[in-house]
Amino acid sequence: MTGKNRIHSQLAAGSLAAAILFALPALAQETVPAEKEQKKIEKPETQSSGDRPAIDVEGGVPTYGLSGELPGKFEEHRDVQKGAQLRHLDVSTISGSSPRWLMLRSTELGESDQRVTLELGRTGLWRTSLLFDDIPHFFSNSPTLFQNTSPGFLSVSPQTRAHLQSLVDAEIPENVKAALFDAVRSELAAAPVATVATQRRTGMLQQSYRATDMLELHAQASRLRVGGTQPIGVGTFARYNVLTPPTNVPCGARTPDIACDGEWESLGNELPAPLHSQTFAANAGAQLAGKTWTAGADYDFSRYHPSFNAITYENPFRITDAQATPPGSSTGRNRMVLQQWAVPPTSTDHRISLHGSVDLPMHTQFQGLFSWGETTQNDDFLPYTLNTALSVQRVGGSVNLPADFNPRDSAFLPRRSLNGRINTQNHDYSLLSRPVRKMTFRVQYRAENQDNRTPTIVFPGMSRFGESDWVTSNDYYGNALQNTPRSFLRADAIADWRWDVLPKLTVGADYDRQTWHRDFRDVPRTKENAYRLRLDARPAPAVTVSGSFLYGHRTADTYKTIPFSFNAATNTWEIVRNADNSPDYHFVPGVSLEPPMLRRYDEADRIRRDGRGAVNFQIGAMTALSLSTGYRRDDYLAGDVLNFSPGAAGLNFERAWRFGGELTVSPSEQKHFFASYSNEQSRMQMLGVGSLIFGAVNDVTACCVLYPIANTWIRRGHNTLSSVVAGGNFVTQDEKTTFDLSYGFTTSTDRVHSFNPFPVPANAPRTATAYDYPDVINRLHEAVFSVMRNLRHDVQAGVEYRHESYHIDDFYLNDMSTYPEGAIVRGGIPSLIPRQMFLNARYGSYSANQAVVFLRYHVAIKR
Amino acid sequence: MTGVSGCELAYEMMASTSTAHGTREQLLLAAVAALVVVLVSSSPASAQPAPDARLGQGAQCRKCHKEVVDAFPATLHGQSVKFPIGSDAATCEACHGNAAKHVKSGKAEDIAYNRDAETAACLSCHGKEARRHAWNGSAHDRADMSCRSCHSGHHSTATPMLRLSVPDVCFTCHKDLQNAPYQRSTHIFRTEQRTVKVACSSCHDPHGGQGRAMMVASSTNQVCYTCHADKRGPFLWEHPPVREDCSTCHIPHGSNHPKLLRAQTHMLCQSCHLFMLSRHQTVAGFDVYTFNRGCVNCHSQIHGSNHPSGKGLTN
Repeated sequence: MTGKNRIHSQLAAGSLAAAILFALPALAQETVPAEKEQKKIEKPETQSSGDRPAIDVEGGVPTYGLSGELPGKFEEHRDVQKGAQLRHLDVSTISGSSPRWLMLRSTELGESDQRVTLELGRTGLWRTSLLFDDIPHFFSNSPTLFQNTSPGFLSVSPQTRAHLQSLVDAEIPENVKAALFDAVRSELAAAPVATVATQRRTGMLQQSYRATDMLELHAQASRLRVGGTQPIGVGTFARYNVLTPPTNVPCGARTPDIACDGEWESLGNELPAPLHSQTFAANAGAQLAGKTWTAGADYDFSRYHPSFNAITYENPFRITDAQATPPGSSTGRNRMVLQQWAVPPTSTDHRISLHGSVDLPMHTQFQGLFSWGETTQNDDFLPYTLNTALSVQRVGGSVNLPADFNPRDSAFLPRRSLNGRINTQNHDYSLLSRPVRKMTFRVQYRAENQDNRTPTIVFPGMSRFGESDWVTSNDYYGNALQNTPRSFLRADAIADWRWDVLPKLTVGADYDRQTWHRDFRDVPRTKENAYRLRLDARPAPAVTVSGSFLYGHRTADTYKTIPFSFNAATNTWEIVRNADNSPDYHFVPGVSLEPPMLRRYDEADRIRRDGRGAVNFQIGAMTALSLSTGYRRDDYLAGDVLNFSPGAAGLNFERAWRFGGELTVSPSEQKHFFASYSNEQSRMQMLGVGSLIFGAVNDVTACCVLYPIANTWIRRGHNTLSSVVAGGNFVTQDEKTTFDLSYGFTTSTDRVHSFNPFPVPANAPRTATAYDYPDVINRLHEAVFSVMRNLRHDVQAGVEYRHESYHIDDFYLNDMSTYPEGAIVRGGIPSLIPRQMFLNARYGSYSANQAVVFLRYHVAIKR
Repeated sequence: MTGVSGCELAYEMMASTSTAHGTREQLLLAAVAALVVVLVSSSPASAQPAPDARLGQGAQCRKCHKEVVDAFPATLHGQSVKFPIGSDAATCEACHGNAAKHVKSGKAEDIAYNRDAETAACLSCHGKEARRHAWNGSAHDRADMSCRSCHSGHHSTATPMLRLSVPDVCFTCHKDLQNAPYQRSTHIFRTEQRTVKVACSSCHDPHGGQGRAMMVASSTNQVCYTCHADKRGPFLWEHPPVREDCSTCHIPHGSNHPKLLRAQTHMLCQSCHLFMLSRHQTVAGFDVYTFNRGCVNCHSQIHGSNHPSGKGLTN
């Protein structure tokens, strides 16, 4: 926001405060003659300082210094200002002389992270709440070849595109490589800078009204608007043929087969994608409450709508369309001039909820909640492709398409839109009972049933590889190219028991049986039985202890797999053969093309153990100490990799434990100190398996990596998170000066160790060696110190200083320079990332120092 | 001030706070505020307070608890006594119980309410509100919490009368989440004024809620769709864990990884997808795809795609 706009906003905020100020006398006018008379008698004794409407305003002048490369995280979700600032504006009219009240709370007015809440009401009768909230999300400013020239459209200079294409089409690998890298870097150096940031703006109105003693009505309406620019990745790598002169023999047919895979000119782009959408939501409902029962109903509506249905962008490397050559091969991709990225479609959600409760004899209550909802979306599809050179009539690929089939025309889609529809039912029913004084029981049934009624659409083909190739069912083992509208039912049956054994000892147990039924997934049904024991005790007046332990076992009834089998002689996975030796292409829709060894962790067999404990000490009247710990362990079915048994691949286990302690000391009302420490550790192990393209040549070059099964690895991750927070506040004896100090330090480390349990062949690609990843380290220091002085009873002044330093070391992000020189090195870690056009939309380390001088003014409104 | 002046002032405020993103929310805010100011300032006084209740409120209690009683009328609970609606009034005895024995003896234990009595006292009025219907049997109820565990009956004048800010109240017990605001990615982020934008109560209803973990909606995904409705679909090409439960891939409070993910991108994806065809060399090596967003560099439509050629969730 510009300085001028900010000043206007602050003036406007002040005007609103003035408007409310003028209205205050009206709000305070509800008195009766008897009370006025009474006030004359009791005025000196009964009128307290809190019994007056008041305005609190706090302004300040902040400044800060910031250093670091890509320090956007300092302002990731906040707007840190320099110059005059309206920090707080609060108005409160709650008083003992009127049942009507108003509260305004606003922070950082006029900034892009401002928040304003206005609540007003009549005690016991109605309440109105208004919220206006901005949330920024800032990444960085970044040079980019893409310019947002119209809604949803990113263009690249035609001169740039022509220049880069001329270099690519030259197809003399070594020369092009260097020239291309230099050309891309120089184009970017001259490119405009885009601000990669989004803004969420929410406006919400809530209203409740007590129509009668039994009936409450409520309603809510909100609108969320999201706008700005966000980074999204679009790839697939572009690779052109290497043709050996003079015969121009293509890849796969040369001897010796050296660097056959061609030269890559691009691994993809990161777009500064425009974003503009809004979500409108509304709710209306009512609740009736009697002495022994309640009943309520609610209707909820939500509509998400983007301003454009696609982000269309120009390919920086193309000025003319072309298609992959030879068609269907792995070279010559990303040859389109224009491509479209489908923005999430407009969707609408309606939901009706009914709830109720009724008290029954013997201290028993039944509660129920039922909701039914429908989510729909019916946006028109985009066409298959915008590539004018893409031909669908390729050998083995046409699948009886008509001669005039045009993939660029939406009319040739099997249908214009999805007509997507999902019906959801939620059930939650509980019976609670305390039949005897010290014992409570609860049984509960909870279910979510999502019935996806979206139709299945079979596509005759689709574009892929940067819309430079046309693929049909022939490329998927004869299986139709169709969507799979997935439905599921998740249900829990819960029983809970608690017993106050002694006045200071409570034990409890609960049981939860959770079942899942799923369509179009590997596991159609799972069930999990979980048991938990709890204990809460007060062994001494100043000591409380609590603990719990959970054991859960999830089993998958069946696990569907693709009919692959492993051929040890050729070290490859193969399609299972029928009796007549023809391949069994009976694949199950929705089950991914994975070896049968794999188990997905969200549906696989699992044993879970989760133990927690906490103890709290109250040491005298001034000191409290709390200690807590926890350990959770998830073990997934572990198979035998050497025998390729089920469950061998995928997540093997996850373990996490935590310890924390907190000490608070309050020697007096004027002094308070606190310190806390916590440490969390988590470990995971997964087993990975390389695999082979069916029918492909066993290529061991760095790029192709057609693995033998010996390219198997075990990966172990170890993540730690530690934090120390300490601080205190201190008020002087005369209660005029307040000191506040806090310090926080958080550090996390993510370490991954990979190793291959098999002997690695000499000609195996680099990736078969399975080496360790560099550690990922995050560290945050935050120190805040403030001094505030009461200059008068209604004026306070102060100074606040903040130091923040953030350090990040992440191999994912450390070296993101665009198009550096270098190539993938066999057997080693490449130090440079070739050929990807990333934005600078990421965070780096930074150090910041901020100081604020502020003034706080309290105005009591006299009557 | 007349109602017309109020409206004009509000309109002027809204007009001058225009930003690049439009002013309609601000106009709505100001218009409603002005309207309410007008209505309130012109509406007649409603129910008259009962003189006896007013005189009797806290008269005995004030002899020993002067400060609390004198400050009480300036609170919302105090207003309910002075200007009651129907039978609901938070008198001293309504919340603290019969004071006769305590007045005589002066002992705290002669008026102390146990947890169940405290809760019942609060629910005698607040149980009629829509968001309190699921308290009995909720996780907080079963943890022996009462309303006073989080709320202050008469020491706080702010709504909703919490003892501390929302996250600080929750972190008193949920200490395992205290680190979340400081992690690499977090929902509980703060402005420099320490304002928490997405507080615990944005997703959870501490009084019971509808779904698991006392969510404000029937399922985890329904809560997420409140702000992230772009992930709702339905899409032509779906990603199953997205449809079932956002927390399959995301940790909602805080994570050491970007985007609240449970693990680095490629490792998270490889937990379920291991059949890496030739180009996808992230499987064990330090590879050209293990940068920036990993798999999502190309498979950016990870939540689902509505593009006819988007089967691979790339566009």
